[in-house]
Amino acid sequence: MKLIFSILLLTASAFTVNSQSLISKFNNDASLLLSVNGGSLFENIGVTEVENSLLFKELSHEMFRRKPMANPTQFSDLGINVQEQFYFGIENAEDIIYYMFTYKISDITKFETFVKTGDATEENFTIVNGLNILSYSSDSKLVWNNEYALFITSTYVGEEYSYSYYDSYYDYSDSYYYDSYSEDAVETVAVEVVEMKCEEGKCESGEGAVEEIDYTQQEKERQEKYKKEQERREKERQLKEEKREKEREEKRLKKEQFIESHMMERITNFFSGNNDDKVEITGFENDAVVSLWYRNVNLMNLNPYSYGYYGMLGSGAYFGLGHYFSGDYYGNLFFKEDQVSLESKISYSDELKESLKKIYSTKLNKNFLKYMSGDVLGYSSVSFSTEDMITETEKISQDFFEHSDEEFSAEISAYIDLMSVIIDEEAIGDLVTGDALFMLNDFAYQTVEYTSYEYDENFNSTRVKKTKQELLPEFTIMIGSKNERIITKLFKLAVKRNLLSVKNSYFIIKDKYNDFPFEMYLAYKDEILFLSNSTQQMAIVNAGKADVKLSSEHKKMIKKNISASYLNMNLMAEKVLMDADINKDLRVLYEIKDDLRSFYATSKFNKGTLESSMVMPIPDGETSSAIYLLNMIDTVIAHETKH
Amino acid sequence: MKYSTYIFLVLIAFFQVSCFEVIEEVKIHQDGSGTFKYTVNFSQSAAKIKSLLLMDEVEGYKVPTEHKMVSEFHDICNLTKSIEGISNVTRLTDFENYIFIYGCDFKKVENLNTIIDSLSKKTESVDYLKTDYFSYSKETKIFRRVGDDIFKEAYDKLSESKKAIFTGAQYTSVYRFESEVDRVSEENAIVSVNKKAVLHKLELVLLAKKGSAINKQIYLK
Repeated sequence: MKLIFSILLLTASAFTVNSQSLISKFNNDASLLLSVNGGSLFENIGVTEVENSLLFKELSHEMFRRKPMANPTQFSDLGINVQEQFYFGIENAEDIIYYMFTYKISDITKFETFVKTGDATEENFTIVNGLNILSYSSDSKLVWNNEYALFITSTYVGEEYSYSYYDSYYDYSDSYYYDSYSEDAVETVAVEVVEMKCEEGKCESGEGAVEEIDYTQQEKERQEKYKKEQERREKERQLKEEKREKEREEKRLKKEQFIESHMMERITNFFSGNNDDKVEITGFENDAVVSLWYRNVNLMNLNPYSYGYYGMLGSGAYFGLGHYFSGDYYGNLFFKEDQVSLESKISYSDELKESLKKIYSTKLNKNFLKYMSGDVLGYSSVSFSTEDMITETEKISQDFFEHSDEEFSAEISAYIDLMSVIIDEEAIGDLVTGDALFMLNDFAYQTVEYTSYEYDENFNSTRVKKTKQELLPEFTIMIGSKNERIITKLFKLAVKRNLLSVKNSYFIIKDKYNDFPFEMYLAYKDEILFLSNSTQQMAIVNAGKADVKLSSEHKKMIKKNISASYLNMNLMAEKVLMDADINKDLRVLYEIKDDLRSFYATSKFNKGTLESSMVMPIPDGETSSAIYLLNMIDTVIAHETKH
Repeated sequence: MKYSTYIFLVLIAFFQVSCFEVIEEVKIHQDGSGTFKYTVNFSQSAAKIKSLLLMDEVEGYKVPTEHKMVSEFHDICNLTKSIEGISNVTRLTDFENYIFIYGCDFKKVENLNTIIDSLSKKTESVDYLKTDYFSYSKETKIFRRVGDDIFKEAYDKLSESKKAIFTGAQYTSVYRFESEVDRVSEENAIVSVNKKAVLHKLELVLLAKKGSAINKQIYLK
């Protein structure tokens, strides 16, 4: 009995080892992991349905067009098991970054036929320790055994074998262009000639005479010396260049060896048994179709200007503070029965949790809701405490720099102390509370002026002003502010200085200061500053409430979350299609607008975690959100192909 | 016209521009000298341009900043200043209405061809054919305007949505003389009441597809 049990246990273990999850193969130095769950996806949509779609045909054509064989028409042609998980990960090892894509194989014969055709040669294909290795280049390989495959590529990021083109350039040009000897030669020659002339007793007064007589000879001698010197420099340059080339080649070879050895080590590791240093992923949901994890999302670098000078503001200038303001990101995409949704979380360090709790403790001023019309096209709201934001940022920064050993930590710490004395957080929080809301009210035809030319009977031209109707968005920005006194003073000052004019109970920005092709209005009421180009919205502000009330669903969404966004895509498409001058690419909306519904997004701070949700409900009558999405993509592809 | 490629490049960035006009004005004196004025007017699309200029990139094309546009225009003007026969170069950049005007005086109208060739040399990486876009003979009193298909190549490469930029756009050419006009070879060109000017309006789409649509000979009395 024991023997049978042991055999069963061993068999089970062997089976477990062989069908180990691929995610466990990624190391703890991973910074990103993306998972596509074929099993979940194909629960929602049939494999055949995907294979018959235009999307599949397009992707198959684009990805495999260089293969000297017919494009695959079915997943099974690839020999890949699409009902399993696919993983893409980035690992940041020392001096090298790996980009890895791995998946399970369903049919080894088909798989090998597919990957080898047109790509495998005697030089680039080898079998090492039972692993098939197809090398596309020195830093890019496809490796497989009977069960799963790994596509791995890498980038060397170390310094030892890097080649600096910058240093090379300046070294090169240094010897090439420098030419200061010639002046000395001229001077020397000139002196000699003068002395000679005088000794022969033919010395004439004035340097002018000497130069006149000896100039040609001087020039000749100068040119000869110049030529010899240039030849010498050319030789020197060639030797330097040869030396540089040799160094470059040596470094390149060493770098290649480094990459090859490290990649092989990583590959062996990947295909071996248990991984003792595997990355711990806790936030991937089993029924998600796509899951993403990203380590240490740098919250300070979440701006689009993350390069150059602006990049320094996010990382260099903060001397590592950016790492303080970071968290792990998890996102899961679901194809549910009645909606497509993306749920994500960012987990913060303990130091940040308490601070963020204070910053996100506020709720949007309920007065905002009074001025939102129920037939709005879309909106986006956010609410946080400005006062706490400044206070907590000072506290965190201070704490960080007091314990940091960066070069200028002490100076920055002192600077922060001084600034905290000067800055009145409460007053700033009063002026700008941290509540804000953007509304897309409508699209409407507005009369717009433009300049053109007219010709008289003799074709003399004059500039004329004409008008035309143009479909433009009507929008409103609302910003919370409790300091009525300052706002009122600023308005009065702006009127005095002719920046604003008064109309009814609101202000109009003067044309000279208005870059928009429509009038912009300003108003302040109920602790809210309004900026809008919609006269209807200003009428709502004047009346103190909207005629069409906002639904309770929207009110709840806005009140209960740090941020809330909504877009009525169907209505938006109808409005955009009203434009006679509509961009041709947008004409695809004619074909899909009836299938469009709304889009919702919310964020809330819950127990130290920022939880976000994006939801796109599907129309009634649709049986599956995956099929719905695929059909829409196919409609767009068909439209693009036709036009 | 080769220097239209400059306008073309700007247009690509402004791909949503729905309407604009280009005006070419040439005035020729009895002795063959004259003045030239080239106007590009985006005023009808000012609203869309303003919103586009807020972006860094549109459909893979980098949106030029106002500063960049001024700088490029300035470079073009400076380049033309050194051309023999060209003087009194002027330029106007109106970012309120998005109107750009280039003007100059010439000793003979063929100097304008040198402008175009100089600009082409600066920008074109392939060999180009020197073309006499403008010519005037004092003896025969014939003014010739000729177009070519250099714009066509770039236009044909555009996607349908980008070709739509040119829908509704107009190209107007006005030629003024001190003598009266006897006749014009182009039937769609109109002679003024005082018979000293000729106006010809074209759809820019037509000109983009076929440069010779602008061809004409004007016979003076």
